Formats: sequence, C-alpha cells, structure tokens
Amino acid sequence: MAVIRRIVLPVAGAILTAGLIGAAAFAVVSGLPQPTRGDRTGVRLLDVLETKRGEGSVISIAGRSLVARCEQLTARHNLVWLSDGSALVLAGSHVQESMPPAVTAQGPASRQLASTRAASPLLRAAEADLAGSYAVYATELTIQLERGSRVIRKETIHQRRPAYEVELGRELPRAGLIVDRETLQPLAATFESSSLDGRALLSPPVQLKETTAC
Amino acid sequence: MTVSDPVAARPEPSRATADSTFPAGGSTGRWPARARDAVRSSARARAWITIACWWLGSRALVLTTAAVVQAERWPHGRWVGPLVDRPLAVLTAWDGRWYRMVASRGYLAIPRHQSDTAFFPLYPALLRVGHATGLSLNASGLILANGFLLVALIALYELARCWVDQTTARRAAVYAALFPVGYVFSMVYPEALVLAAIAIAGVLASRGRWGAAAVAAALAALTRPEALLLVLPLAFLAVRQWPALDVRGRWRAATAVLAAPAAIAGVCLYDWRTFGDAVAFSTAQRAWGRSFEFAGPVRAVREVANSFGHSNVWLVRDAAFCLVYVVLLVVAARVVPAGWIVAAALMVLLPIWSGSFTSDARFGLVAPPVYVGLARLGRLRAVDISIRVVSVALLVAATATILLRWP
Repeated sequence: MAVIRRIVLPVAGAILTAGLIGAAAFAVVSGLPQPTRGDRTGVRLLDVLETKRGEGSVISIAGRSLVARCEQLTARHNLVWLSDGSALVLAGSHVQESMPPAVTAQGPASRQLASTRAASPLLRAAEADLAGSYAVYATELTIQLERGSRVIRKETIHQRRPAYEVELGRELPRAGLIVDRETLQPLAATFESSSLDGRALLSPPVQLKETTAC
Repeated sequence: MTVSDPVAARPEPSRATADSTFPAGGSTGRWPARARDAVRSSARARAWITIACWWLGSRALVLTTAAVVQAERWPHGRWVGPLVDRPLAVLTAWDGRWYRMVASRGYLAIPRHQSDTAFFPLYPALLRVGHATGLSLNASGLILANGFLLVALIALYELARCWVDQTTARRAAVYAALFPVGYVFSMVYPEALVLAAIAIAGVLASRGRWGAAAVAAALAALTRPEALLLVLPLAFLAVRQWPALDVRGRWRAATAVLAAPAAIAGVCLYDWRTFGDAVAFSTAQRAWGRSFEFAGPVRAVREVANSFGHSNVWLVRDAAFCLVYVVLLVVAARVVPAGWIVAAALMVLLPIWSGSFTSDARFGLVAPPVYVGLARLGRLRAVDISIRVVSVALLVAATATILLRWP
C-alpha cells in the first residue's frame, strides 16, 4: 500500500499529466496554418516528376513548331535535341551549353530562328522549359515549394481532361505546367514573358530507368 | 560539492537582504518608495540591472554591426534579392526564412528535399502572434528573439546561482550576452527562447516548483529538440528530492521530468497524422545531410580536415567551438550537477554523430553549464577583462560575416 501511495500514484498521475502536455503540444502545432490542398498537390506532383521521366515534346514558339527529344547525360545533366538541329545541355533548371541550329536543316525559317536564338538567351530558356524534361520541372517546382510560393494556379480543362495549371515561377519570364487532375501526369508546358510566349504538348511519361528520357 | 537542491542550498543572501529591509506589519505611506529602494539595493536587483545593461550593450553592438554591413553592402556580391531592402537583413537570413515559412504557411513535408518540418513549432507560433499585432514576421521575430535573450540571461543567472556564488553567476550571464556566437540570439532564430525556457525550467525545479518547471520544459521542447535532454538534469534533481516530497510533490516532479518528451511526442503525433511519418522533423534533416551514423564523428573530423582551401573552411569555426564547449563543460563539472553536464555534453556532441560539425557552435549556445564554465575561468580580473574584450571583438566579426556562412 505504501509503495502504491509513494511511487505508483505519483508516477501514474505524472504519466496522465504528460499525456495532457502532449495533447497541448499537438494543439500548438495544429494551431499553425495547415498546408493548402494546392501545396499538397504540389508535393504529390513532385513525386511524379521525380519517379518518371519525359521523352520530349512538340513546341510551338515564335510562330514555329519544333519537336524536342530529351535524354540523360549524367545524374545532373540532360541533353535536349530540337528538330531544327540545335541542342541544349541542361543542369538543374539552367541551360549550361547550347549548340546553334543546323542552318541547312530547315531552310530560311530556321535561319531566322537561329538569329533570334543568338540574340536571345530568353528563347533558349523557353525551349528548355518547353522541352518536356521532368528533371527541369522538378527542380523548378522544388524551388516554388521551398519558397512557400503558391503552386496550383487554377483548375482547368486540357483536351477534355480535367487538369491543374501549375506555376513553376512567380515572376516573368515564367514557366508553367498543365497536369492531369487525377494522375498528375504532365500534359503540357507553357512559357510566358513580356516578349515571348510558347506552349508545348508533352510526350507521355516513361520509367525512371529510361536514359533516352529526362 | 554541487548544490542544486533547495533543501541543501545555501541561504540566498540577496533575498534575505531585500526581505529584511521591508517594513513589518503592512504598508505605510512611504512603503512603495522604501520597497523600491530596498529592491534596488538588493544584490539580486543589482545583478539583474548589470545583466540588463550588458544585454543592452551587446545587442546594440550586434544590431549596429548588422546595420553597418547592410549600409556598406558587405560582403560584396552577397546582397541579392529581397535581402537588400529588408531592415537588419542579415539577422533575418538563413533559417529565419524557414521559421517565417512555418509561421505563414504551416508545415509541408517535401520528401527527399529540405522541408520546414525540421523546424519546431513554438517560435513560429509566437511569430504569428507578433504578426497579428501588425508587425511583420521579421520584426516580430527580431523583437521576440532579443527580448527572450534578456529573459534567458536573467534565468541563466538565477540557475547559475544554484551552483556558484553570485559574482560568478553574474559573470556567467554577462559572458552569455557577449558570447561570440551569441549573434544568433538576435536573429530570427529560437535559440534565445529555448535558452530562456531551459534555464527557467532548471531554476523552478531547483526551487521545488515542479509544476511550473514542467510547463517551462514543455515549452523548451516545443522550441528545439535539444530540450529533450532536460530529462536528465530534472530526473537527477527529482531523484534527489524524491524522499522529501509528498505524493503531490512527487507527481509534479515526475511530470516535470516527462514534460519535454511529452511535448515532443505531441509534435510526433502531429507529424504522423499529417505526413504519415512520426519523426518527419528528423527525416527532413537528411536533406541537409544530417542522419545519425556510428562513424559520424570520424566523418565529421575528416570533413573538417578536407575543408581547408574551400568555402567549407567555416567548419573549422564550428569544430573549434565544439572543443571550447567541451573544455568549458570540464571546467564547469566541478560545480554544476552531473545531470546538467551530461545533458550539455550531449547537446554539443550528439550532432557530430550526423557526420558533420556544421552548426555545432550554435547548438552549444543553449547549454547553460557552458557559461558557468567560462565564468569560472574568468575569476581573475585579467582573464575576465580578456574574455570580455575578445568576446566583443569576435561577436562583431561574427555578426559582420553572417552572410558568408550560416550559424
């Protein structure tokens, strides 16, 4: 009886009170704002982008249509081939190197695009964002999430499929992604700036082990 | 011999002096003035005023340095983006961003990436309270951090009084105000709050006020995970006092011991319910390269050795402070109870098992015995003056270089 009174009762009481302290702590954390549905969707989308790869896209930019193909060079570097014969080496979300378009490949229009490209890093940035590289989108989305920025711009319909418009940047020039509302599969990419707008239809995703995608 | 038990503690001269000057048997017309004089003349009040003056001086130094480097845009090339126009920007940098994010958006676990779940909730919750009064999150964070430092210094003094004489205790608090890494106490970081809560928990437990100690311990644990180690000193003290306590006292003492783990359990419950990972705060640390491993210290030492000639050479600063903390704890061990020494040592040494000394200088800041060890070294006047002068110089230098390396 003495043991119960001297040890068991105080310890049992303390455990009970500790439970109340734990509940109070839970209430304090729960009192903080909760992530929005858009934030949570962003995290799920990041998982999709990091566990799949994109093979490429069909880009519409500066009044031209280009086919982009993407492949992995190293763990950090990806290579984008464009149908005008130009290529971009991407590291993270940056264009590290670029090769000019093959002038003979598509005639004068290509030369016109080549001169635009030479004068415009913006065009290279746009092509990089529209090429369908999941690695690029994942990097840009991570930056958005880590900044605490809004990720889902709005709900939309894309080719009769319910979709989300995803923001991959806040200020111009700004990249965006259109993803299936249910599977979060990327369907299209957008690029917006004060002087250049573009859009791309993305190829279906492939497995992570595919190195002919990125 | 160490003294942390109120039963065994020596009589407190400051309180006796103050109490004896109060008039017996109720108030008179002159009572408030006399009481004020009595309080002013008491040793404790003098110590508190001295500490407050050093707090004011040291914070003025940190804030002025932060303002000067911002006016000069030094270090050049580091002033980019929103930093440029933000008042006292260097003090809002690095983890300040994460705490602001938790305050404004709440927690969002991003698997395999740096996430704000690594940051504990009480400080951001207080940022929100400040924000609700119309302050910006940064202004709120700076006011709270600097204000809590004053509370922490007074509480540290009171805690140190349980272990050492009044002069040494006062010196410990003054050294804490001037401590070179103490610029963190003025940043949008929770270190000042957690030091205050840890010291208050210790003081209250030493005085047998276990219920209040439990609250302080829980608040500390809601601020930084290191506060979990409060279990050790509080358990040591509770075991010592146990025979002299009645049932209610034992219940409260045991509650105080369990308070920090209970508060962290509450955070775990939230993490599990929200993210499906009860230790999401720890999992998030992996994105910063922190995960416990057996050979962590070896990897940490190797990392320091390899850092020379690279920007990572700042690790030497953290490793040096780790060494300083260990020496100071050895010095403090002669007067500070073993529970506190072990807890403080774990606060400083456990992070090394993650394979890096990164931020160890900051982690040791919240270990009260460190300052008592330093105060014991400063018994000789020449040493005391040297510590103050060197600390001030290093505090200014450390504040000026915040943008070069995170604390």
